[in-house]
Amino acid sequence: MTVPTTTTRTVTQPEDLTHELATPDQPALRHRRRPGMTALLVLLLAAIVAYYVTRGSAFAVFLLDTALLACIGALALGLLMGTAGQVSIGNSAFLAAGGFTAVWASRTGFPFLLSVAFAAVVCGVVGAVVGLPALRIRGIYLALATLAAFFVVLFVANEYQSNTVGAGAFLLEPVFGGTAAERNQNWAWLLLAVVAVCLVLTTWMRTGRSGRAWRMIRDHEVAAPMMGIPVARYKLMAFIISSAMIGMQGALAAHFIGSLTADTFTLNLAVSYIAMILIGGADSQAGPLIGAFLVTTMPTFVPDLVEAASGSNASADSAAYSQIAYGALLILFIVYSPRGINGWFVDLSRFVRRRLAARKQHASGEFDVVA
Amino acid sequence: MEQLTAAVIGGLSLGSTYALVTLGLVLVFRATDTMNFAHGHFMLLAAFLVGKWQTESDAPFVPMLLASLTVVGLVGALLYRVVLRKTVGRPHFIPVIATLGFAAIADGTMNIVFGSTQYSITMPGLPTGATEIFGARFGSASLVITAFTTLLALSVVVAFRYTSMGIKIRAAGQDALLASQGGVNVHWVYIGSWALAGILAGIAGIAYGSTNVVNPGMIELAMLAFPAALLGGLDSIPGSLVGGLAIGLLQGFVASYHGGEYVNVSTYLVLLIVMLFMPQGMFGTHRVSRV
Repeated sequence: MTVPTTTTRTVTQPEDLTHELATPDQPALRHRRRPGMTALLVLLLAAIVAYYVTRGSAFAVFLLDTALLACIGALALGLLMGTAGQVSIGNSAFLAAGGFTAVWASRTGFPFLLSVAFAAVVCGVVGAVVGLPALRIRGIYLALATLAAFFVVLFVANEYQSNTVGAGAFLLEPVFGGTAAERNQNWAWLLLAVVAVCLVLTTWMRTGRSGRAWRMIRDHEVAAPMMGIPVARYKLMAFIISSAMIGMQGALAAHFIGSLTADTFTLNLAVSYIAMILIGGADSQAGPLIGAFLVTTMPTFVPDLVEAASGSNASADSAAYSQIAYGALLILFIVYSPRGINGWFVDLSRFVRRRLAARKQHASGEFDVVA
Repeated sequence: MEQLTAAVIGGLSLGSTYALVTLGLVLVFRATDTMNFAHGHFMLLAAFLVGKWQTESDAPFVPMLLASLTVVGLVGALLYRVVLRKTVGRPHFIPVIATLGFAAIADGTMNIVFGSTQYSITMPGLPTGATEIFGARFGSASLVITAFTTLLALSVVVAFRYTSMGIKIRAAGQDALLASQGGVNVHWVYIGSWALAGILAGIAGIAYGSTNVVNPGMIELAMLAFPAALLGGLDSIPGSLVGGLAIGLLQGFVASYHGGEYVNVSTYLVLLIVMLFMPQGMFGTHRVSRV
């Protein structure tokens, strides 16, 4: 044989993620529907918004708005990557696609809400196109397909921008009237509503039939069709839904900031979304929200921590320091705590419940005979 | 004719850099089954170090070169030893995401340490001026660099084929257990291949920086090497040479006939086409999955 032996090896790809995202001792019912939990999370978010809108500084409200925007993308990526197991570094691609579609729609005369909805639809279609390779390729190769989407979308966006407004930025009319502070407060309520809808939607899909199908595809893709799961349809569905959500976030962000330029959308931005869901906890309800809030608020507290630790002035490089912080946390979490911060809460609540149950048993005298 | 030579020579000069970068990517993929998204940061780190030392001191070039290559080699080895080794046996994408996390750390750190200054590297012994080939003018320095990087890439490929070190690395990547029974110290081979990948990236970065400017745009260069790696076959060492040169030529033609803004998008369209129609690339292994 003239072919070197190295080119004929077969590789069995490990598809098994079960030990990764769910520990074996957890019941299969971990992803059951718990409407009370969702309601509690929405109430918590509403309380945060209400507190900062009434008490917080203008900057705090602005930060809250960006965190709420990030929540949308994190929930979407959590669905795609955490539940369906499709690795994607395409968040900035879809953000850019959404933002630029919204700008185009606004310039052609669409009203605000219609331009956002239109951007979501367009991004859903783009997501379907990016998801097409996913029907043939698996795993980490797919990350390269989303990387390709990033370069293609940015190319189109750059062409559009340089042919209409040049190197500057697109400017958008403010959606709400009033002073900057009032506008940001109105945005906080609007974004709260959007995040709540996204949370309910993703939770509903994660905990139902589609969630079970996605987890099966994530953990045992080759076996999934034998269980009667239409793999292609579910994969495309995950891509379309998450891309539409991220596109909607891009459109909302463009309207919120009031300007848009292609330079904002970098690969680092996409990595920060991966960091959000893996720090917060992939395939969980609260994880993406925790991660989004933590990572977006990092520039405000990480430089202070650096200054406290080293004494040097770090505020000038706040973005770079927070980049280091989320990169390091990303590595620490995937190595030492794969279920993220949300996993800590799950463990804590189980620990407390077990202790309470044991105490109750003890109090009812069941152990007295043994003693 | 002028345009054609510009496309071919310009493409080959880019392609030789891509070949070195792709070689590093394929090497660690071969050894440890990980796609390294921080490869561009290795390149940039070495180029930044040499650029910064050259602007701040008058020390000779060769010690600087060796020192910066030692640093990136160590960074590569440490990345594997401290982080990636802990992800052995975990799902495939975990180490890849770890390299993304490392890329974020490296990006932030280099931003703080080197700032947004652009550095230039002056390599002693390089000819100045321009050479005219079939009516198109090229910097003589860039022609020498092209010849050097092509030769280096070629000799690395040959070394992998015929030296015992190359065979050890290929064996350890193919079947770690069998290789360890055959007396290969798999652990050190893995560390060594990450260090070697870092050094190759560093050489590519310094070579590219000596004819261009050194700035964070270099990271994108490594991102554009992924299509080259996939085209040649992600696990094929000779394939990385062919893929790198092919992508370089493609970019040369696109840049000279259509314009620079089409380079990235055409390169990634190639990636999508390769992915859809021949996912194993030109020389790669067919992957077979079993339940």
